[in-house]
Amino acid sequence: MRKVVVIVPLWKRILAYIIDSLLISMIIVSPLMVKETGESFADFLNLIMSSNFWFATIIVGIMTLVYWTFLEWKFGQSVGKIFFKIKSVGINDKEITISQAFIRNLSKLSSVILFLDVLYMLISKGNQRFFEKISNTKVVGVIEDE
Amino acid sequence: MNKYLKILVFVLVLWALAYSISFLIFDETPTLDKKVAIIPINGMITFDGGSSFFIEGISGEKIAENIEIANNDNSVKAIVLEINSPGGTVMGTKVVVDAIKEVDKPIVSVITESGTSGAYWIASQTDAIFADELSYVGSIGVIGSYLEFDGLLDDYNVTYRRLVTGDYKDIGSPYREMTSAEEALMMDRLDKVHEYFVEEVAEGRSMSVDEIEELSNGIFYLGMDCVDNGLIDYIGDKKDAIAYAQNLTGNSLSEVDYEEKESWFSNLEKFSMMSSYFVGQGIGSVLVQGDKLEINV
Repeated sequence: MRKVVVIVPLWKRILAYIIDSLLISMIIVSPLMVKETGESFADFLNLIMSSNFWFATIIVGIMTLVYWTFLEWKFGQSVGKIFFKIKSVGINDKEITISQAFIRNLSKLSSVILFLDVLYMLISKGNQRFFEKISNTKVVGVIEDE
Repeated sequence: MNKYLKILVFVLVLWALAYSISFLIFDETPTLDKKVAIIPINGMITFDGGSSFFIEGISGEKIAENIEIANNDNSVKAIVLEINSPGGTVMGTKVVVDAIKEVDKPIVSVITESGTSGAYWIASQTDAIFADELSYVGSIGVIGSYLEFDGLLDDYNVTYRRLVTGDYKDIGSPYREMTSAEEALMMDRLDKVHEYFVEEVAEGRSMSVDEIEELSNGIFYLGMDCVDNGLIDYIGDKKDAIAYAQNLTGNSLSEVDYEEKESWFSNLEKFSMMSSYFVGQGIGSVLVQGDKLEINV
């Protein structure tokens, strides 16, 4: 098997992230949050005031982190990354450990932190997010040839 | 198992886990259905639901529990209390009033036949009151009346041997005449309950204490007069009350009845208990409701 590592364009990473987010919405967010949704602004206020909402939010956060961490640790790829043939690897191009997978995905718990994390890519070398930098990981394109 | 199959299994496990946790958190089937809870209040309201000879009792504690369940149910967007009650004991009523004060969603009451005394106290705490033109409404007042049998006992040469350790321990006993001091003490208690009752109704109806005091001579009013005197908001029936609740929430709501369905076995058990009670106590003791003086609203 020949493996060619290439630099991944940003748009592929963004689209892969959108696919993963849609999947997470379907399998994690929807079952836990759909019963709490309302139609009016008052419903929304009631929603965020309820303890169930906060408990469900914490569970969604944990399960989302489990999704990214497990798939990238075990397979190097989430579902979105499989679609675009990209992979998370260690800085030395080796498989990432579970702790590396956990740390590099921590920013995905908060959209604000993720935004700042992605902004860091503009000033970093090799399109690395800040949490990728501190976890010694990166995302590469993979062309597998039997 | 190849890589893609393993990923598929993992995703399905996560999905199943999310659904399982969802059931644990919300304790209800997944639904986007929006409901209005109909909670009936029929009969004499006592704390634990005890009945008297003349009228079926309903437990204030059970009504309060139903209100709390409806309030905590996320799919219930509004509550309608369907009232047909002459009132009840002070604490049987107050426990319901306290539960209504904890409700954080629209709650409307509809008086079908009678919503008097304690039942009106309950209705007054809701966001709006509906009643028919001929419904009995109001009767704001407190009653502690009872039958005294001391003359009857004298006629039959029966003596009430008074053995008490406190002067007022047997106050309200039907077997002796109440003294004027005891009557003053009892009236003091009744006045305090009355004052509390009037203040609560005034607060619930956003009226002044003086306005409610004027209406609180114990008389009941017909629904047709109650929009003008402020005791109710609208002439209407259960459907009107539900429509009003829907308007308050801005949603189309399906009805869910919180009435406790009695089984054939529980009816049989109740019949058996009532029979034993009447045989054991006799009609006379039922009329005076035992040795304890009861204050009702």
